[in-house]
Amino acid sequence: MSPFDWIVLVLSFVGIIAFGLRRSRPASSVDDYVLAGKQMRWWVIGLSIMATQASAITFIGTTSQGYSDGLRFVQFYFGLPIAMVLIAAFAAPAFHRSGVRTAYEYLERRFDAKTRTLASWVFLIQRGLGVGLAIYAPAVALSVILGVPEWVTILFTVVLVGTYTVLGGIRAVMRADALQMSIMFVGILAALACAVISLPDDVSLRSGLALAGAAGKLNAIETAFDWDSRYTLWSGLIGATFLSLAYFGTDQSQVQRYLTAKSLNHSKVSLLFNAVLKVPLQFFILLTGVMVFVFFIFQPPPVLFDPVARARLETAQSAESARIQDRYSRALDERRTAAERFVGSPGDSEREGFVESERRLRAVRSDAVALAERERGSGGYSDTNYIFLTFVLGYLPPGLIGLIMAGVFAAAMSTVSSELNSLATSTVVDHVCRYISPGITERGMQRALRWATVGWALYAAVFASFGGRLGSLIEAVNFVGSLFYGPMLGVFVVAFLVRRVTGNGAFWGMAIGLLAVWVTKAVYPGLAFLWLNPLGCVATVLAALACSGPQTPENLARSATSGASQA
Amino acid sequence: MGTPPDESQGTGNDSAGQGPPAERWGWTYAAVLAHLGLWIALLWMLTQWLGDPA
Repeated sequence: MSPFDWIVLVLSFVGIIAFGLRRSRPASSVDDYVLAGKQMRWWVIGLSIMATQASAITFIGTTSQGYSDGLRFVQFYFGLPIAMVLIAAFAAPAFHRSGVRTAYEYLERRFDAKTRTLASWVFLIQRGLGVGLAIYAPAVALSVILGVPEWVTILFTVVLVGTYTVLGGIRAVMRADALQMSIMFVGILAALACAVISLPDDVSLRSGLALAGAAGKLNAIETAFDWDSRYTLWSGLIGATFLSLAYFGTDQSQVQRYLTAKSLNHSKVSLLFNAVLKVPLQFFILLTGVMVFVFFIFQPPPVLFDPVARARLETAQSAESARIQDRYSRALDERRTAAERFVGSPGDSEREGFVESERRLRAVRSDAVALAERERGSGGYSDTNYIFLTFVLGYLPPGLIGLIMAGVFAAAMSTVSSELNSLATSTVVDHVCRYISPGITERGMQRALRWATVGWALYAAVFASFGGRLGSLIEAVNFVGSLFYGPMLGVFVVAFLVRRVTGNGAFWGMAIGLLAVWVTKAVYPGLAFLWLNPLGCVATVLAALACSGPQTPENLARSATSGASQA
Repeated sequence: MGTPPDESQGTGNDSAGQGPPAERWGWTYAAVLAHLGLWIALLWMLTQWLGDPA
């Protein structure tokens, strides 16, 4: 990066912190610290919801996914607008009227303390592991690309984010989120424009899209039904709806955003704002990756995008390494020639020639990946997170590089700050005030919230620092995360919609739902993870109904009494 | 698809940006879902015209 890029990067950081803390007087009450005094407007909440979901890996990984897998990932987001409508219609009014500080507090009002505590622990475990990964995953790529040690990136992110999260509470977090999301928007649009502008003069946007289409990168919709296929129209519309319902409707890191709204209408509009913008936004992010793919047809890409693995391959001095690099150079030349022929005369045979050259190039890259795995002594090698960064750092003009790198850091910071804030809130509200120190004063609670934020920040930094040694644990974390969401959603569904379910029913329903998901995944490991969410939800609802006993007048009266205490 | 009126905050018919009156939320939800349908249709057409559907 040039000095100009570093100036842009540093100015962005200063701007984010200043904007977050601007006019943010020290929180005068607990509600001010965790709910921003319920004074937030819909557009701040909407951008904050979006920024919390968009991590740095979304930014660099999704563009790279567009490069390697095309547009099909957009189907993963089809469930989001449906979920947002359902949350706006059912969950937001219930949370808003009950006046709770955490989503799990609602469960105690509706059911009992043990259901609240179980749900809160599920959140703390799942999100606690997630916040470490949210720092670690981008730190690996950024440290390699920027040439700084991983711990520098990790420490930098944690200190910066921790400062404004501890000092300003959720108000500072959400204001910073809004600016961070805006930086991400501008960065992605600038990168897309640069990828299109950088195409050779004789390659129009239409020709570029034709090349991408021939390579299978524009297959946005997959209508065939397949339980094992991760992204299809059906897994997107059904499985992802349940996942989005669980994430936006029950995860404290998201629920807390719309609990800050100055009115229920502001809550609803912020959710619908996301419903309308998310699919187009993801489409443009993936399209940026697709256009980077087209760009690299005419500008030779490296055989491996990860600089460390590439250097290892180049210095291997083995006959196989030299052979692969030679084959790769020739395959690139052939693909470029075939592409130019197709652009000049877009007939069927020219298209077939290009498709065949692309297939040969992929085969050579597969061999290079296999060799990289042998060189490092382990499988599962992926350089996906380096593709977009290679394009940005190698081919974009000075200034813009700094802006996009600011966007990547902003994405990491927005996710981490919201997660730290919500973890601290749930720790203090659901556990410290509930069990450890029930008579805590307002001032003591504010102190506890600040210390809990510091504690979670330290934990996240330590987890991220050891990320490299955790190896398969990281995969386990992602796997475990996908097991929790369905049952968590199930317990909230019965809380909002099924009057006859009792506290015991909800608690055991959730426990049985968790077990059902774990057993299904063990028996049928190939099942695409999106399907685990509806499965866990339905299993929890059915088990909760079964464990609540028959629909007697006493049961209904008890549920009605606990429900009435929400008001 | 209507939802209960906004009990917590008065009429819900306040200044721009705060959403429609409560009784019109159903239409708003329908419009949001129609927007999703439009995007799916557009992406399906893109797949058929420029993609390489199997």
